[in-house]
Amino acid sequence: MSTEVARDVVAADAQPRRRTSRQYRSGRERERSRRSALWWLTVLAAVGFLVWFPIVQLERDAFSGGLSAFERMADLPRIGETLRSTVLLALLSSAFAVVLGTYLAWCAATLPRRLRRLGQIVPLLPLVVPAVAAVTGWIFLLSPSVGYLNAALRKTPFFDHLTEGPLNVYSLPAMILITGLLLTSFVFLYVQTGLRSIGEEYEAAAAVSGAGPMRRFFTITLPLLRPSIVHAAGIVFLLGMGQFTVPLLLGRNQGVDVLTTEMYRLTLTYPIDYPLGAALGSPLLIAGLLLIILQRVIIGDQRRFVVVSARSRNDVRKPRRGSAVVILTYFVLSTVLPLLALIYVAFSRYWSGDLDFSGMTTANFEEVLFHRPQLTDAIWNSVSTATVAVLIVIPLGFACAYAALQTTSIHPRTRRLIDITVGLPVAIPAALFGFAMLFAYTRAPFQLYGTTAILVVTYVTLMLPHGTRLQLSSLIATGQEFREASRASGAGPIRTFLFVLLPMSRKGIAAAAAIMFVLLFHEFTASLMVRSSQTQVMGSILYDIYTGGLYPQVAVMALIMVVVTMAGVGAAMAIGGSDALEKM
Amino acid sequence: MREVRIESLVKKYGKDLAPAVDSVDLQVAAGEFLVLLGPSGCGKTTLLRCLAGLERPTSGTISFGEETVFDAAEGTSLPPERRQIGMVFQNYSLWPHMSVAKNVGYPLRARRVPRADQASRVDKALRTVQCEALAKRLPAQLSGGQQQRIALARALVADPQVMLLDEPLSNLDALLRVDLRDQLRDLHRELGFTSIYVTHDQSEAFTLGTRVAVMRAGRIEQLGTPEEVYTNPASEYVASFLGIRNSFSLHREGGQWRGSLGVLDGALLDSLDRSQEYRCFTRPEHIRLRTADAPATDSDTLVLPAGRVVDAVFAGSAVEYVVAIDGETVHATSTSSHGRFAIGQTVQCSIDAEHCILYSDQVRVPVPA
Repeated sequence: MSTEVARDVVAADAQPRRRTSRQYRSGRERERSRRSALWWLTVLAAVGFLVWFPIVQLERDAFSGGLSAFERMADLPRIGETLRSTVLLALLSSAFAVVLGTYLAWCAATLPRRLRRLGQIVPLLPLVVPAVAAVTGWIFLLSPSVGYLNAALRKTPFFDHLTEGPLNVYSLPAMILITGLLLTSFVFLYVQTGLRSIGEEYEAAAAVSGAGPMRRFFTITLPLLRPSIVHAAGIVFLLGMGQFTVPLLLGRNQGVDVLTTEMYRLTLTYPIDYPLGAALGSPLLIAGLLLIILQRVIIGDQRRFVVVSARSRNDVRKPRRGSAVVILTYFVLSTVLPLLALIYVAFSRYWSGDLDFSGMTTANFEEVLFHRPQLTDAIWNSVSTATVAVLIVIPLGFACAYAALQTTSIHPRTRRLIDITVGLPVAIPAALFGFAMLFAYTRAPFQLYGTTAILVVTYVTLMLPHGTRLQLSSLIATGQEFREASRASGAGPIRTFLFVLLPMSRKGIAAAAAIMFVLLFHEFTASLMVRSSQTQVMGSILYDIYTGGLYPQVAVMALIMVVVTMAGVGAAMAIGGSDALEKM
Repeated sequence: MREVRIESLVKKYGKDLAPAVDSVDLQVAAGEFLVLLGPSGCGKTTLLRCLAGLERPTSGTISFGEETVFDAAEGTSLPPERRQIGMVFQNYSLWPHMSVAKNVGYPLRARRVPRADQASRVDKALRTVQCEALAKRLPAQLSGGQQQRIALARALVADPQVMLLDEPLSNLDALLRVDLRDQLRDLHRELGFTSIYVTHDQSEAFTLGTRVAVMRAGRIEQLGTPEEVYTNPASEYVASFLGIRNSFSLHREGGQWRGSLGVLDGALLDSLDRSQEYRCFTRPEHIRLRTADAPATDSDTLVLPAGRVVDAVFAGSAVEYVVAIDGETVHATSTSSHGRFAIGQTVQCSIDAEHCILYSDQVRVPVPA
């Protein structure tokens, strides 16, 4: 998620390029430096094409008819309401996530000591459940008439007069809450990392200065966390603006639309009005840019947040039993309940709202796995396209990460351009990116529509920031000295790469691959934009059977996604260590 | 200023682990400057953090003056913010988001000192550490020495009952360390705060402390004035920790005193118990060298076997000789007025009785004069 982090690391590493005086350079050396410049320009061209080509194509098309696309956008029925829902959903869900995520991070830091390692992981587990699976689970729980939770609530004396409700999953408040729950893990991730890097020593210094726990939290901890919180807030706000899964599954029922669902609706018409789609996506693009600027302003003087971490043991953050309760409650609400609903429906004959364990059946699994070639094809497509995409991203991302660490063999401008390009797909919502992909790759010279190739290209582009950042952090962890020692021992760049760099970062590469698999199995938004009826993946086919009303099969499909993801996370943790989850 | 009383204090991190602090009893008088000295992992920092309330001891009591701040049996444990202490951390721990003045004023705000007094007290504290000019800066804009002074000002500003200092000088370079050490000494003399100071540096301990407690594996191995500890290390452990470089064993065998260096001679040996085994420590500057043919003097109460000079290092005011005796090495420092010895030359080493630090069964044995 955080190219910003990677970028900071890169910036810290960016020393001014050492200049060798030209007249002392031998011809061979000049030849070598020209070759390396050419090599880095090739890398830049490759990632530049992948990232910029679809966006530039789409934007050019948007303005090809002057501002007419924007006029058509203004004429759309209920466009005001759509904009309002988009902003409300983004603002309120990200506010919810920031408060809850920060509170959870604080709870994790104040757990009884023996629970702390567990507490660092549990709030991240919602990330393991694909959003589309979690939302489906919530539908099973909170659908007004047959949601299990609603049915249970109607049995209590408060609501026994109702025939529907009391809660309605198909409403803006429910959308906000569910989006908020999905985004909370991201905030938790950032704030927890921040808390850990601050350490307890600053709070200890405040305690011995006579400050009680409340004063310590508000005058020391919270101000020092400002960069993490601002950063997390920016990212979840962007994710909220570009949120697609929740409004698509929950909003369309009641006519609550957001910009991304409007864009999706366009892809279902023929011919597709691409300029209008680009116009609809422009607020998302502008929000992304504004946010990057705003973050810089709010964080302000970076030196205020240069922390010295001390690793000494402390009892300053008083362990509280209540912290465990809070974290457990969050885990049950965000993950366990929807998963239980999915499991129950997957084993039921149909979704009725009544709990009845006598009619349990495995027929749905048999149907999905053996009798619906469409579904098995989709599972196969998910696995194969993700595999090919990861195989492409790994070397490409490695090259970009390696570029970020070069100080002498690359022009600083080339390095900066690679860095910015690679980071871009994170700032642009997946819905807009998918839409641009659809536009760019369904016409000459790249007519990829209806093939799995368009999925692969989309996945490669979306994974580029992750592939780069994950491998960069493992490269940094292996340390520059090893490379320098190899060079000083007389090895050239290629020998250094093959015999020092590659063996040392093997583990990091494998972990990066596993994490990208997980992210790609989750991918729903862009997949839905670029799929065709012949080329489906797990997420898109799930949506199709959902709209077809085959709920038990939806549940089975969602569970399969969860299981596949868990296998990926398990692999990532086995290879990359238990903090692999935090790298998502 | 208050005295500090520690009684049978224990801190264990786990049931099966050796205690980090092992039944420590210690009284620090009001206005005293006590130094906890020891290698890393000896429990000195843990003990200090227990005093601060940053760690909760397993058992025992701690009181500051009349007030019990910790008593495991009664379950009393005052949180750090109510112990009225000042503390200086090894890494300074200045809050990076506050200016220097804000940092120093924080203990006053936390203790709800009237706003009107705050500014003048911050000024006074900054003047005490000679950093008035830095008030508006951020910690990141200060050098290590300045940061340490500000940390000291922050600890002093609220007139704490007890000052706790956790290796405050260890992150500074050598010259600055000596400079700040002397300033700290002056400050203590001027203000008279009760202090407990943790360090692994013996020169810091000896120059600053009114008393020094040498710690080992969670216990206090020796407690005494710097002079006592220096001249009379209570155990072999203390002697080796203080870096007394020469040590050899001696025991009676076949009518002679023998040891790791060979056969020994001298008047001192007559006063020793022949059934015991001893270990002798002595500092390089206390080993006297003479040429093999020069006659012994009266003060040579312990004479080592003849050896050969294998190295001579000029170290300014003195020459450091390395002498090989029977395969072992002995270090001897001699001020150059004695004349120089050449590498390869055979020499005789001898020690005065008063400089032989003898142990038997780990216990210090007084040497008869």
